[in-house]
Amino acid sequence: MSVPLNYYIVLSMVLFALGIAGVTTRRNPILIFMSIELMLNAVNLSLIAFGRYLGDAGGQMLTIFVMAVAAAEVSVGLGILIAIFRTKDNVDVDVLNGLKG
Amino acid sequence: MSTMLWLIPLIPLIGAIINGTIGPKLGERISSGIAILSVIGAFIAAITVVSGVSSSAGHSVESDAVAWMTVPGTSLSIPFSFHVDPLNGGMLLVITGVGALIHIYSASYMHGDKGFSRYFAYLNLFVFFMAVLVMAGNLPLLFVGWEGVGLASYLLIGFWQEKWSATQAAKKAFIVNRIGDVALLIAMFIMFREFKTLNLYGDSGILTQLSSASTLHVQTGVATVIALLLFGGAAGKSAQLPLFVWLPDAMEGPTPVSALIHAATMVTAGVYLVCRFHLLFEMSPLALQVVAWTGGLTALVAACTGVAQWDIKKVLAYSTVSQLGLMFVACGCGAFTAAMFHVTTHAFFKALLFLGAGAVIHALHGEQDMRKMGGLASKIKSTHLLVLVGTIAIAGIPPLAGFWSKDEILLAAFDHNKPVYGLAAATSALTAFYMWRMYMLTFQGKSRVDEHTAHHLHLPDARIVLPLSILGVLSVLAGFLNAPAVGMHFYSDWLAPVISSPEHSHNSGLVMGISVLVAFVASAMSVAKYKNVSPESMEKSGAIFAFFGSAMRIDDIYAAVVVKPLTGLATWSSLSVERNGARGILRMGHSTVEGLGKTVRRWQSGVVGDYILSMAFALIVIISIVLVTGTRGGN
Repeated sequence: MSVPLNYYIVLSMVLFALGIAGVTTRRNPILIFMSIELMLNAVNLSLIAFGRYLGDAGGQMLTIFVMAVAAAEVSVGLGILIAIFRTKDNVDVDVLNGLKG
Repeated sequence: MSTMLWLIPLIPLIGAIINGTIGPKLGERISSGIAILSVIGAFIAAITVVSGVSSSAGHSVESDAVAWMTVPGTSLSIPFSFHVDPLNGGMLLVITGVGALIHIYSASYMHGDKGFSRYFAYLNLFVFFMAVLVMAGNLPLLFVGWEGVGLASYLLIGFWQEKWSATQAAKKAFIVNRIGDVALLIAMFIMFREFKTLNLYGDSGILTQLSSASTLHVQTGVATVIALLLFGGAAGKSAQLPLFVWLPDAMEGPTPVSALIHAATMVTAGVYLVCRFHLLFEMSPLALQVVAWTGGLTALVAACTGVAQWDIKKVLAYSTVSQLGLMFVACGCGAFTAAMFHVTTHAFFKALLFLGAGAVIHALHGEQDMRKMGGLASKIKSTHLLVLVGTIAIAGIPPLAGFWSKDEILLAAFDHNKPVYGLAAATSALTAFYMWRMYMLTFQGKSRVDEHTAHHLHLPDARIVLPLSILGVLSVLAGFLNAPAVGMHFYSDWLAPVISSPEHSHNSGLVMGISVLVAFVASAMSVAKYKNVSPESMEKSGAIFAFFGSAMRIDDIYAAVVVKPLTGLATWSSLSVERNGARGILRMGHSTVEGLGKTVRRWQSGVVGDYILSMAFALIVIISIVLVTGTRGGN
């Protein structure tokens, strides 16, 4: 007896919403990164669930892609973060509003 | 032969294009070499063409007509075509010949100027347009040349663009000339109505129609209007009253330019135009009267002004205006041969004087004030000798060129119009007076040159002395081209196919006697007065001197009557119309956009969180719309 698809989708939605909440409310970039990871994994979960439901391996394949890209993205993001910290002595995203119009 | 005709304007044009595009990269030597060779090439082509004129049928050479403009349904057809006959052939030789000499002179005079190749590009361009002007086979092409030489003149007067006075003088020359050009244009319109063509030569050309009086149906009144309008154009280009004010200011340009354009060639284009249409002028006694009186008055006014100048180039400038006036006196008295002959000799001795003055200015490091010259005769011997020749020539002392050509004019005036003869004779006396004054102040007496300059004189090199010497020889000998008193009438024979010479006058002995006497007396008076002139006497100048020195305040009259009201109108429209009217409408548009921008920019806070929130909200909105309406994607 397998878990129904709905459960996965609801879990995925909840995780995604938590991720958005984290990204928008947190001011520490590290925590923002963690929230982004949460959102990505919520999507991964839904992809695998749909793949399994439809009997298609594409979902799993895409998930592996997402994980690889996410790893690269985090390394680039952390690199930028260190560069910002070196020049600004600060990584609070609310203070970093140099693009203000 | 017709290919040769095309070469005359084309070679200088090619020179102008080369110097105008890649000139600055070529260096002075090659740049000036190209310019000089192109004008010499044009000169050789001109000699070839002109030597073929006398042997050819109808005493003229015509080029092929290349289609330019035609208006379907009318007789208006304007081709590119050139035509050379004795009248403009002589002009061509002067333009290219004197032009070549002045190009050679310029190579030395302009040495080290940062606009060296630009200068030669303009100078070649001038020769091109001038050749087009005199050779043009129809009026619109003549007008192209007419405007073109105006452009070249403008560019060269304002050649030193960083000088405020030079740019102002250039604008003045251009604008004053435009007034005359409008008259010329209107003359062209009326001529098309009357003659149904704008071609000058050929079976149906305007000049051919004019010469066959039996079939001509142009009324005298119309002929008078056309003639006066043509003369209006000529008065602008040839600096006659009341449009002469631009020429003295044109001295802001480099001196060789003054010699070539504002003395020898371009300013004589007006005389050429009147002589070209002499048949038309002869139809209208009134027009001839106007031409004679305008010329006479201009000559006298300019001569009076020339006496009261301290700037050596200004003396020569007013002298040019005055001599041009004499040429128009000749035209107005029906002596068109004499007018053209004076154009030729004047080109030689005035170019000589201007180039000589240029050599003096060059030697003194740019000093033009005669109060700071004096005693230069022993310092720059070659220049001194040649300027002396030019002075004798223009003063009308026999047997140099100026005497013969001026005598012909005076004789014609004596025979046809005694009051104008009075003006012309007075002008001749004043000419001799102020030219000797210039010579004495510059070369004789005690030196008033300041110490430093006196020890570092720029001595003229061969490229300056050679053109001066050739012009000097011509100034001595050219008079014998047309000296009926000693049985020489080569020039009038040469022009005979175009302009018939008037019958020999029995007054010639009397007029010549008066001329010689006047020239000698005026010269002697001038030499005596300025032999030992003291520097102190130069500083104080009376009211009369100042009045004449400012050309009878004609510039001030223009300023009060034309310039001031125009400036007032411009200021008024700038303040009221532009600031409140036009700018108000524009401001409404831009303030709307600005307000919108101010509102919208708040969105861009620079805080990443805000952006993400917006994205999330937008996503929610889009998804809700999709869910509510039930639409998915494109299909």
